[in-house]
Amino acid sequence: MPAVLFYSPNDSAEAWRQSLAERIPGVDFRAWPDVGDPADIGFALVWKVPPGFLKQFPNLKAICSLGQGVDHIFADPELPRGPHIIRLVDPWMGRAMAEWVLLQVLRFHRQGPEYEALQRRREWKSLPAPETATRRVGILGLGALGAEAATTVAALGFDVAGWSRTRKTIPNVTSYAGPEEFEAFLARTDILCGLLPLTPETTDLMDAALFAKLPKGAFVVNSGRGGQLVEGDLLAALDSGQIAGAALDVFRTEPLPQDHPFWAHPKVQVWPHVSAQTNADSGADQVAENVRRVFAGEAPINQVDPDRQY
Amino acid sequence: MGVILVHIAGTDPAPWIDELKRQDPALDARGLDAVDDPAAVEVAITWKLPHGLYRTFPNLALIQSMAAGVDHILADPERPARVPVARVVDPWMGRSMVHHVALAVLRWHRRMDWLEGQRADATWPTDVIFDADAVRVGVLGLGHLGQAVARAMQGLGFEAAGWSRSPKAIEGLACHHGPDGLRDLAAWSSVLVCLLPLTDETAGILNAGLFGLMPEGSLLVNVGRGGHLVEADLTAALDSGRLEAAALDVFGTEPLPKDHRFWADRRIYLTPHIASEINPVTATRAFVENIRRIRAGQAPVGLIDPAKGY
Repeated sequence: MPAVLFYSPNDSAEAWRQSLAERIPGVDFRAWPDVGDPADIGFALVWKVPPGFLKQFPNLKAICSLGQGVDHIFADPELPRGPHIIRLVDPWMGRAMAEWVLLQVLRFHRQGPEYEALQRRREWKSLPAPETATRRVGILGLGALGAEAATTVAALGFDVAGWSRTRKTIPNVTSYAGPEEFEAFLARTDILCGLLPLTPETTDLMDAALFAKLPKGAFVVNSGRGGQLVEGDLLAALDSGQIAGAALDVFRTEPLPQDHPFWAHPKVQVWPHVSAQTNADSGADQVAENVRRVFAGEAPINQVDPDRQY
Repeated sequence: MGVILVHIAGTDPAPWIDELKRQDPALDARGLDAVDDPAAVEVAITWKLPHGLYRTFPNLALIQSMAAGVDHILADPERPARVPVARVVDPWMGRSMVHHVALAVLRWHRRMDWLEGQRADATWPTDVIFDADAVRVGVLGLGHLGQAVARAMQGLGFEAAGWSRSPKAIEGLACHHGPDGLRDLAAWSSVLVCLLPLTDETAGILNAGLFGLMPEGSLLVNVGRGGHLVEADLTAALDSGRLEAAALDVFGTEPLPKDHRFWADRRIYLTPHIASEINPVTATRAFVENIRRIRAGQAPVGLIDPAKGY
């Protein structure tokens, strides 16, 4: 059986070695840099490999991302054309992302920042409470993660809509589809939650023009990819009051540089890319199944279309 | 048709009087100042009416609490025992309570305050782990609000269980009761949510003995009454690390005095009694229905048993 290569600056090689060994007895698991003969490698399990890294394995059949996103793979200009590209659709991640999105929605809806400030000022004062049913949440991207977040937020009584390239049918979630319905989606959205994959089409999508189409005082949440947000445009929209605040888990440069204005900005909550982490235990079932399929010559599950890049 | 007295300690009752008249123009709703003949008062809708006043209304047919709790009414030693007392049963209050508790649980579980602390020196933490399976929510009090909170926690994928003074059976929810059951639940719970009515039996129930049974680093959420909590015991439990945080919405003295140590304690998520802020439209609907019932000789919705205190 060919070997499985593991490369990640973030994830534990030992946890993945154990999880895969439990599911595929005798699996030949090689964690970078202990790869041995590059010709042995048939399956690569990776996160953020350096450009040109993957082309050194001549017998590679599949490249599997350790996260939901595959933009880090397509960013490699020398990416080999042959292997299947696979992303991880981890049920645990969907739940973790829904938790995180709900936290941001509830914190804004229930005026968390204002009450935190009142506590610091020792001030006992109740603020007018907006009705839940009139608070419109918009989920940008209705893939596996977006759909679960939308359903979770809708279950707590919010008016939820989602926008995606193609129309979706999700109970209690209004579906807006395609570029022609994008403006209508933005116009009805008080809390915008970005959960899109990073593709050439979604790069720089959240810019001044988009913010201007949201109702004044809208709240922006992004846990898609940093490359979708034009950070300077967000700062300007926060200054003008067009956008009331933002909770961000992803940034154009991560870790966020020490001198970045977001760190000290009172209207921005900075999260260190922790909205939904990959879990070796729950993700391993799917990786093991794909290793089996790929080495048996079958099509893997959760394959990515290289032309659309998601 | 008698007078409907509306009294809210510290707040102008005019918006409530207007809403009552909007929903039923035949109602003669008034504030305390406008009551010239005490014998005309038929229904008292109240939050903290000064003690001794209920007995001055000889024809009083219903005391309607403006809150889910009736402790502020039962605490009046001169309250005429013949007059039925009702708490407010308003579905909107349940939703607001669910949101408040979910926000506190997610804020603790996703370590928001710790991450905000890291922000002061622009630190990007890399080894943050969230274990959703370790979030086990124990709900004290299995009335309308307690059940709604337990169900919502289960909906978010967290384990939940409940406790009440006397045995209860609720499908799909582990229910404990009595003193032994309380100890079992505390030992199991990493989050305790107090939604009990305040009675002689439940006063001071959140104390060192209970905290000592909980796992290290737990969360306390008090949305019952300030009298449930032994304040000195809470500070000791936070100092020892037994409790990592406490979300407090109710206090022994409200407004919380300016010099109270809770204001400056960053481990305390302090809110000014807003967890289940009453909604004027939906609560008034419930009041109008209870006035109709009393006039038709029927029992009001939310009738309480003064012997039990809830």
